[in-house]
Amino acid sequence: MTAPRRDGEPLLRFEDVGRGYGDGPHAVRALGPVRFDVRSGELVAVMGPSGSGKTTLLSLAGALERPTEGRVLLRGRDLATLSAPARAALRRRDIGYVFQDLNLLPGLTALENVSLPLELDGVRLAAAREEARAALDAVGLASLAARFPDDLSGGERQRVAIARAFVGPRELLLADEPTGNLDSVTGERVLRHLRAACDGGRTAILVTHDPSHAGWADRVLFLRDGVLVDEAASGAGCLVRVEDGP
Amino acid sequence: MTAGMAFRALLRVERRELFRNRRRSRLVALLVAIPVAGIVGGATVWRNAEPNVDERRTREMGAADLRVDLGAADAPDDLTAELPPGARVETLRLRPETLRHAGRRLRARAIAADPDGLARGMLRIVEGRAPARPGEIALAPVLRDGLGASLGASVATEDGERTVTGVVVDPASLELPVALLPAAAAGPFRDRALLVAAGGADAAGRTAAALRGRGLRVVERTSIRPPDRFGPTVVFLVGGIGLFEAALVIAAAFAVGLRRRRREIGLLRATGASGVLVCGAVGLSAAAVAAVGGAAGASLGLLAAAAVHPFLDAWVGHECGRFDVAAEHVAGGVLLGIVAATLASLPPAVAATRRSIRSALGGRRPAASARSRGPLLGLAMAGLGAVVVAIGARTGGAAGATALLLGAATVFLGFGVASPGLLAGIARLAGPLPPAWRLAVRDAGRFRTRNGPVVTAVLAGMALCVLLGALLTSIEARIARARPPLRADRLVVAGPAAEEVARAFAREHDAPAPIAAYAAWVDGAPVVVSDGGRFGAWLAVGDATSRVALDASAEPSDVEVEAAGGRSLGRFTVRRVPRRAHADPAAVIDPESAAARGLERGPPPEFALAPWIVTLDDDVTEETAEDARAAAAAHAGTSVDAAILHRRPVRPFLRLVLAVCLLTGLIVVFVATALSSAEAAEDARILDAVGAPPALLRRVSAARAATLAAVGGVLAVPAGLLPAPGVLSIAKLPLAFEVPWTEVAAATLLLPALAYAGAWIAARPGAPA
Amino acid sequence: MSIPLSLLAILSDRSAHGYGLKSRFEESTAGAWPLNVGQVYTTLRRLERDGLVLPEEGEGGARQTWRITDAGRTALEEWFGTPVEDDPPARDELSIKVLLAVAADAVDVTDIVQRQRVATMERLQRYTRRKRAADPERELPWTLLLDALILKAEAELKWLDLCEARLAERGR
Ligand SMILES: Nc1ncnc2c1ncn2[C@@H]1O[C@H](COP(=O)(O)OP(=O)(O)O)[C@@H](O)[C@H]1O
Ligand SMILES: [Mg+2]
Repeated sequence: MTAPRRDGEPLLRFEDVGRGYGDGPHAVRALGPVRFDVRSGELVAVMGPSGSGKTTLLSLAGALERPTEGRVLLRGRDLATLSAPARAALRRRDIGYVFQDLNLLPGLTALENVSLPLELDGVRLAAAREEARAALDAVGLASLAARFPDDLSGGERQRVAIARAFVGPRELLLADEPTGNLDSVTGERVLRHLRAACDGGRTAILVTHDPSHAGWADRVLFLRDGVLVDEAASGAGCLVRVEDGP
Repeated sequence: MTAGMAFRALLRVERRELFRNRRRSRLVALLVAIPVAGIVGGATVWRNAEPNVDERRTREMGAADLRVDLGAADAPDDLTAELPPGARVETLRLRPETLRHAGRRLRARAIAADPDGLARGMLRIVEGRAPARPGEIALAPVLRDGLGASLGASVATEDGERTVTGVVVDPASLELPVALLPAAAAGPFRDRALLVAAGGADAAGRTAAALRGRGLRVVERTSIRPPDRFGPTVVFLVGGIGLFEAALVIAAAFAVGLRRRRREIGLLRATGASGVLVCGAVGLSAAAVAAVGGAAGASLGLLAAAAVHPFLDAWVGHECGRFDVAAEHVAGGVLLGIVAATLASLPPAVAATRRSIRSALGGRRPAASARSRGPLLGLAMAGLGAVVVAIGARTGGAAGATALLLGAATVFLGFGVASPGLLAGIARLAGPLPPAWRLAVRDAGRFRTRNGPVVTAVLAGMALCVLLGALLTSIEARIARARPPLRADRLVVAGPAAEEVARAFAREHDAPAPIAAYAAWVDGAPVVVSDGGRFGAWLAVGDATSRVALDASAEPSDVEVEAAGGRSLGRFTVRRVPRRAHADPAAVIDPESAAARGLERGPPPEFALAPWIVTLDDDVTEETAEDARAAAAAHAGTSVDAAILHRRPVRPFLRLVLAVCLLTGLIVVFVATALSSAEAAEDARILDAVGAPPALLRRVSAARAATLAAVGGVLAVPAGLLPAPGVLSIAKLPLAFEVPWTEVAAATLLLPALAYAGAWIAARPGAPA
Repeated sequence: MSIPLSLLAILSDRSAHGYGLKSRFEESTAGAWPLNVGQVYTTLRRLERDGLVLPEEGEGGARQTWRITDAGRTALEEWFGTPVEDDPPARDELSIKVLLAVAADAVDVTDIVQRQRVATMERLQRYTRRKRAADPERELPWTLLLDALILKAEAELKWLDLCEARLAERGR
């Protein structure tokens, strides 16, 4: 799905989106209503205490779930109107997903994991592998292509997952606490790759509860009890180095 | 922490695990229950169906201590001299009898005896009363029904009319056409026996010795022994094989659970529980579940046995008496189940505790050992097994049969031992496969230690099937060679009344006049085979049908042939006929060779009992064959043969075996796939997130099942064929080895296809949102 | 922050003149705390008075170089050898503001906390941008300084989270 991008139209738009679970006395409203846009090339962080609806928000954006109210639009298309196979195709071609852990299929090598969405999309095996190799190279893991996930460290696994989320034509990455289990240096390495990808024109939504990781984002959305409470955007510098001059 | 305390703590952990993991516990219990139910039920039915020692004794000699079989002779006059004082003697007399009633006529065995005297239990009145006065008779149910003679009816016997007073059965043979006459019935009897109540075992022994000393045939009550344990042993053996397969699956089930719990086990060991204690606790929990399953299975088996008990008499043809359970069968079955399950749980437990604590706590797989010795060891075992089979085939007898069984089992196990290595090997080659299959094959390799037993279970069943297939196909091929096929439209009638039956049947069915097998003639007289000095045996000319009619051998041989006058015609190539009556031909020559040697074809010589051949317009159907058989049955020694009556005699049995093996193989595979549902669910989440179409998830789980089935099925072919030549050589026939293509195709193609289809249907299409 | 001891630390390596001291200080602290030359000279004179530094022979004025004395080295060793103790804590405006807001019933504390959170987050984002631009190999002091600042901001944010959570608990 490569609809021509109209000027000014956001890549992803949440229009008063809400999501509830259950009904009657057991009904919970996990999210909403929330409204925000994500533009192409942005890295947006979502922060909030646990249970505040971050994962719900992300799975709505990734078409893994349907909203119970409002609309989620990807390049102007309402995700709820798509059939299950169409949404699957969307995740192959437009949206990459990274979980906190258990991202990789243990039966496939790092390279095969990355090339999987392409293969599922009908790309020829050789071409898919070549593209996957390039994606692995971009996260600095080309030398580990033939390894199985069990033989990779946690940080390496998350970087493979990011390579897979961005392989092919996809440009929206949804990452749910991808650095949750990693130490700060390894976590920072993962975020550098994410940031570099966004600087290269891709777009990402990053759920995290680690402020120093959210610091890498262009914007930070604060979520509490399912609703957005505020937003922080990095402005001009406050800390001026001597050589920067006045 | 003392070892005792540690063990108690571990047991608590295991108990909680059993409840937390209800599905697996239930599965293990079920896997134990099914074979145990089979064992206990089968052994109980067998025990009830087989007469016990008291029943045997009563059926042979009623209430007497001795039975003296006199045959046609009369009792010696001075016999009483040999009997101890106070001894009672009764006579039992028998003769063949023809009964007539309402235009029907049946042959019966007439017995004159008092069913309330010493013969009590040899015959039993089930309706009415025993005949007491001279003109009375009691009939067996078959006679009563066959003649249509109800109580009070009058039937004609060879010595006059008698009134039916009751229904009598021989408990040893319910279908036997017995007719009970009053003990004092007059007339000639062919056989007689004396029943003697000697009053005590000692007196009986002395009397028996004395009577034997006078040249009489005496049967002592005590010489009738209890039945041997053959039946229950067979049941336990077959059930044991079932338990073995179940144990392999149980091992896989425990491997799954322990894999999931490897962190916990690492923690337990890090806090000081030794590996032995952990294994002990796991084994004990397996034993507990197996005990529950075994008890349930035993109850089920007993219930089933009790439920079929009322129908047993009609089925086995004798009275089975009261329902009766042997404690040792129940206890043995349950114990076997517990032992099998406990042993099955230990290898995974040992493997789990062998892992380093660090790698267990880290949740990482231990580095794969560079090269596994499994495949080599397995192939060595398979080779050894084949050698043992060959030795067993040479030895023969019970030791040989045991060696055959053990050898075949070793071959199967050897391939089973090789299977994890093979799974790992094919997993490495899975790169070019499409994603669904690649995932399935890689998973099979990743969980090879768990899948090994599963593959072995599938393999054992299918290999057995292939082995039986090889044996039976070879036997069939031999039969086909030995008996050239009959033409489907022909009936062969043989025996004294062959001509009469054949002509009547042909008339009835508007068929052309039947013909007898042709004889070879030369110069107006039949040709004679003189080889081996069998002068006078004529030479038949015949096609395949005649060859069957004459029961001629498949292997041609050269014999000396001469004309009726004694002029030698030289040696001809013919097929020999086994010599049964003087009138049979000695050999068959086929029409072309006969023509080539200038022989004519004509009716058989007058003295010959040649089989008659009826050629119908259409193929012989089952009804026409049955019709002809009934017609022939009216004449002693006359029989009918048709292609439809003996086509592939072992096929149905083999089909049944194949179906059972396929079914167990499929069950094993589905259980194994269900066991790995936890990992499958994790994979499903990831596949969903990368945009796998919903159908892919279904294809992956179908491919998982198919992979295990295919590996097991493919390995079953060499595993089944390797011991086949050895097993073939014990049959006393010169069997040539035949590949059982049906079974091979079933194992390699049908089983995986069914597994795929079954798992595909079972996997509900994933609907994430 | 102790400027006199920082200058002593630079002089312990080798002698320097006033302007050299200024630029070497800024170099090793990644320019985060700019000094003016007048300040440097005043400090040097105070150090000379205490006998911790001595002017070297040669030209005076702007080209005058200074060296560390033995007494100076002893004072420096003492400084490096003593861990930095923040006890009692330095007066911190944020903490004081929030604590007072909690005490005063009329003020909406969550509002203050949230506003502070956004501000701190924005500061953290800016530090991170700088870190992104920096080369950790060549600009080690700068990177280390940014790490310190980022972690301080992070600590502040986590403290704010805790404040909010505890207030919410008390409110129940
Ligand atoms: N499938 C579900 N059924 C019921 N409640 C759910 C479900 N998924 C999430 N929730 C609830 O929705 C709320 C938000 O969950 P989640 O988005 O996972 O929070 P976060 O990722 O921020 O920790 C929680 O209260 C959670 O219990
Ligand atoms: Mg979450």
